[in-house]
Amino acid sequence: MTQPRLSTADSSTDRSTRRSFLAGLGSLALVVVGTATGRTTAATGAPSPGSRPGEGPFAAADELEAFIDDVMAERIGTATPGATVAIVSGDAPILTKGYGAADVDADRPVRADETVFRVGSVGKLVTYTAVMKGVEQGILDLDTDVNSYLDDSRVTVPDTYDDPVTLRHLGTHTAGFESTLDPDIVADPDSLDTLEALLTDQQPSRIRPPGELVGYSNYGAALAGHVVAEAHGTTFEELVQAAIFDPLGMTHSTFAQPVPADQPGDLAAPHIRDGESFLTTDDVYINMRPAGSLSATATDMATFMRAHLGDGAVDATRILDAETAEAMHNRHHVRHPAVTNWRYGFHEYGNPDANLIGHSGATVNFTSSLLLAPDYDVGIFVASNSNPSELPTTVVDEIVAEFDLQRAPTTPTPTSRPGGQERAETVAGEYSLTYLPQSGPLQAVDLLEHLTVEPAGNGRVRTTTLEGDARQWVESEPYVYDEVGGHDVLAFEVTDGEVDVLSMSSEPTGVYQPVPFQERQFVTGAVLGTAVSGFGLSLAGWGGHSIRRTWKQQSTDDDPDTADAE
Amino acid sequence: MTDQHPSQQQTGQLHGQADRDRVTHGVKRRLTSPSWLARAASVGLCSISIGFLILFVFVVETGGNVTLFTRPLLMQIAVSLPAVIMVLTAATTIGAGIAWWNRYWSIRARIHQSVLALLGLGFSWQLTKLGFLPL
Repeated sequence: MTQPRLSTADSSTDRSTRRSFLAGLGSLALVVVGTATGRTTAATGAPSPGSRPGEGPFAAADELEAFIDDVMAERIGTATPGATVAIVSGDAPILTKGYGAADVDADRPVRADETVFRVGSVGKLVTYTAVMKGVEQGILDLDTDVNSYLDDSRVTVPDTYDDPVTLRHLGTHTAGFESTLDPDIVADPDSLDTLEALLTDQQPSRIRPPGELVGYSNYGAALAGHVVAEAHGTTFEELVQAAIFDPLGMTHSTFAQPVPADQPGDLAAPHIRDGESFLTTDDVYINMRPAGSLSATATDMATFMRAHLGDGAVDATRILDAETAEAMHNRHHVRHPAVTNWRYGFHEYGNPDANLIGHSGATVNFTSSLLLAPDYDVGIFVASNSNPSELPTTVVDEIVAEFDLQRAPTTPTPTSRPGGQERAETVAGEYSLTYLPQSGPLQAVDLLEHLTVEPAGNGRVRTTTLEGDARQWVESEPYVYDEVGGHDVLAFEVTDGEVDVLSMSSEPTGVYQPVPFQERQFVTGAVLGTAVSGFGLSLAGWGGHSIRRTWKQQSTDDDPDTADAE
Repeated sequence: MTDQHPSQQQTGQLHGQADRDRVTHGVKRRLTSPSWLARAASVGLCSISIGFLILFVFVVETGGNVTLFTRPLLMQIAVSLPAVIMVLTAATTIGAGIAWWNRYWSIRARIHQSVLALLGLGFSWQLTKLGFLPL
């Protein structure tokens, strides 16, 4: 249920539950929401001496642990019953620690090295690492039609457009598949299909030419997993086990569902809130497994982060050549130079210049977030066994802020180019996100998430959403606007006075496109409001009329004069 | 005397039969009455539309947004109602046309029926745009 989402502790931290739900969706190995993707804002603080790249921001491990303890103490028992944290610096994990309860019924505590969490879409990073391993081996190519790897599979991507879908598109969510947010969550493990059957039966439409616009897709990630498995002539689960988990010694990690009984470690129970406490609940299963069925401990995720920070190797064990790891961490799709963009499988986070990359994830009742700061050799992983609005990402954000992993935002400097007000009026309008469904009842989510842009005077613009997220932006260069009080960025692409695309730095999992007048929130609200009002008044009128008639009839029957007359 | 005067039991049976005949006749009369059907369609349209909104919001509020994915029974019922609303909108619209054509009801009632038909069409249009109706 989500979207990759990393946000941080600045003014945009608490933007509503619905957005985080979507973030969750997108990266859910559910949404989406949120969610599908995620708003990546960034926590910032004033740089401290000694936090220059290469020096390591966590010089004092005791201070780090005390800080994390404080951060988690504020949340355990209130936001979530349990959580697990892993922080690596350089080539070693400097903190792996469990907090709270893995299962409130059994009173079982979280242990970082034993308690397994469902990490949702963070598992996509493992899938895309396996793809890059295949590229390194010469078995796969990022720019070849994926259909060429599917000769022995029933799955075929239709040739809707001239350009084929490639693994580069799948790793950057630019294949152009219609989003469904739902990675096909099922409550009964017996309802899980084979990956081949699932990808065949539930193939979404191709609604955009590949390579053009980002639109977070669980289907695309699942397809990438299927392609790499087919190319190796094995199953996805076996491939990942052999290529990544076994070499790295990630003994507590698996994409299998349910987690096998003989798998080392204990799976944390999912929880739902019940007033002031938490109740355990049934787990769910992700049919699009490469997109979000990974279960892992914080210790295993620390190893995975070390492999990426260590140019593909942990100690003497190498899963990727240094060149391959570097290639994976390079940009593969640019939405706009001024905003966050896509590496391979990772999206950039926070300030586009900060070189922070990550991914967030969620299932229905688990959430997680993974962030790498390669310039500092730092990796952060947080997971919880409930689905609070933003626990893992806010924890990551607070760590980023506390240890200065990105520079503080500066006051936006208005562009000296004339015509700012005209440009502000050009970009005014209502916009919808590409990663939200365009069919089915979840289409309503798209309507609720529209972004409204209005001129705010002096070349500034103001953005608002239904959930009350109102922000001001200053034009720093033509059609590029910096957030006032933050470091988010809006970048418009305009052709002949019409906006084609709006990219927001904090929403890397999609781009915004203008909404036609008849699909705007005001039109929908007016039509639905008028209709419901009319229906309600009519029912009230009919009811009143019926009651009045009944009362009159009774009055007539009870009238003594009338009775005498009878 | 006995032959000429039915027993109390026989009288009751006759009255019961008469009641059943009256009800059957009444139902038949209503089901073949365009005006009654048109009014029933509009009442159904108003009731089901509001019921849909209440049920949908109730399920999402109590079960969370995830119910849009997991589709519990109440959500399945909710998302099945837009199709009923579309049918009732069509019936209400046809009923309004017939009412004007045959000039039954008062002018005010005919206008009311027509307004409900328009509201139903608008409501159904938005349900389509929101993905509740697969058109």
